[in-house]
Amino acid sequence: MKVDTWDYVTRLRKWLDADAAPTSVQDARLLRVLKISEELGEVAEALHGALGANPRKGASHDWGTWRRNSRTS
Amino acid sequence: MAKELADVIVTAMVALDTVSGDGATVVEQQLQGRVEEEITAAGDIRLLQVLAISGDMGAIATAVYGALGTGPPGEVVEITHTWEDVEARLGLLILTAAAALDDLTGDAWDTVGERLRFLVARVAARPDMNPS
Repeated sequence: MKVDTWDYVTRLRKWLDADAAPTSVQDARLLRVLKISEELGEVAEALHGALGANPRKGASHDWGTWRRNSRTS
Repeated sequence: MAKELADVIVTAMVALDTVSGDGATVVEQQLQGRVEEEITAAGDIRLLQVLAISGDMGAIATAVYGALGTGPPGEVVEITHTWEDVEARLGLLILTAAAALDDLTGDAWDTVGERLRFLVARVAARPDMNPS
């Protein structure tokens, strides 16, 4: 892991601290933990899409390299 | 798929940074205690890898309740965990997701690093963002 990785993480955290709707410190913790669940749902969605597991949606995702996906999001 | 996995890791890192303030140390300690296990599963290992992240998420939720001493309807429950337990489990989830991303892109931390740079640049580009 590169050293500056956590510097970037802290920058994102400070942006949330400063710009997100005000909340208690404790609720901020809960929200940020809960956010992982949301992102994890998108992983599950991408996995189904990459495997074509949902007949209605077909092959909606690919395995992706970061470079291919980074421009579209 | 790689982007979504990277986002899970980034989100977990932000949560860890919020709870602990020193996520790097937590993850480093988790890395040192990690034992590589031989993969013996039949079928698509990627399914198990993603499911394992869900398992880690459940452990985090349990630890949060245990640290708060408050159950879902707001009732008082026994304090069974500390916030350090929450930090450790966030670290475990990060490593579980990183292992899955490693298999996908070859280097999870490179992928996460690129994703972080993109996200930080997107935040910095917002017109209402105060330079600080």
